[in-house]
Amino acid sequence: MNKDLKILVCDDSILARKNLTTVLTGFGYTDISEVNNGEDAVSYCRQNRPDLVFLDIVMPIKDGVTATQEIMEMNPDSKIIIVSSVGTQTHLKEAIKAGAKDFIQKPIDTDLLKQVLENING
Amino acid sequence: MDNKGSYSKILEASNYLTVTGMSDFVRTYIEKLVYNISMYVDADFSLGKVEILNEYSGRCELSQAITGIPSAFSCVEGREDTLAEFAKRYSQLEITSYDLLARESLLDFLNLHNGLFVVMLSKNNICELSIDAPEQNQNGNPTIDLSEAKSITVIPVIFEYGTVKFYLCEL
Repeated sequence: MNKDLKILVCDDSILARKNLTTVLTGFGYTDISEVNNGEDAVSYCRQNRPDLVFLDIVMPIKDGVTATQEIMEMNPDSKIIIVSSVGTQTHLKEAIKAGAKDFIQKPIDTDLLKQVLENING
Repeated sequence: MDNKGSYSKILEASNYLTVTGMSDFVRTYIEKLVYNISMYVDADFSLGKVEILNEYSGRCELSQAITGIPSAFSCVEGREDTLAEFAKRYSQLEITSYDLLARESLLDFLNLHNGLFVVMLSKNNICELSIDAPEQNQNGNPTIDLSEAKSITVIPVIFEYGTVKFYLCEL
């Protein structure tokens, strides 16, 4: 897998961001940035064009599904993975319809995350 | 420890099934809460007396709304040292006081639990609900009016280091 990806982690929970970043760092990724709401994620993507974006769904200011739509409109090649505790069928469908490539239910299963990264990243 | 076995025993020892006027929604919430605490925090606890209250008079500092039909409001309270220890065990971080990281960890647990509760209801085709972002209310007032709540249930969770109280208000 290419470990030189520019990755954005977006979650309003400090703990969730820390946990995901720690796991990604453990996988060998080093270029990881963090923001805490969908608005900042869209703004970051506009300026930095990350290779991979992890988005929570339930966040203040702008939720993850809306942010996914806006990021995909800016850059249809964006690779977005939704990471959320609210993995209902409704949320799952909304996220995929908005353009997300995959959905990971919290708490994060590191084996599943690795598999998702392999699928997306080759 | 066998968390699954422990979870069942904790529920069996509780009074929650005998509380008059408690809805299936609240009962299911309690069962999922006990399971999630066993799985993600600490399996060594018991439930105190689960009660339906006439009114909510807590601080409501850490809360999260569950939206849809039915909708509800959840919050978590306790002594600061107890909440800090709960946060430490959940996050597995070196939390020594009731600071920002402790509060963030508690909100993260509330968000995880409510999210998994909503997912379970969805998977069982009971209802499709969602959750709002969890909130910290520094002034201690609920962000929504609880005076019209259909029910306010307190779920005391007793650990060796103190009691953490979860509230679920059906709206």
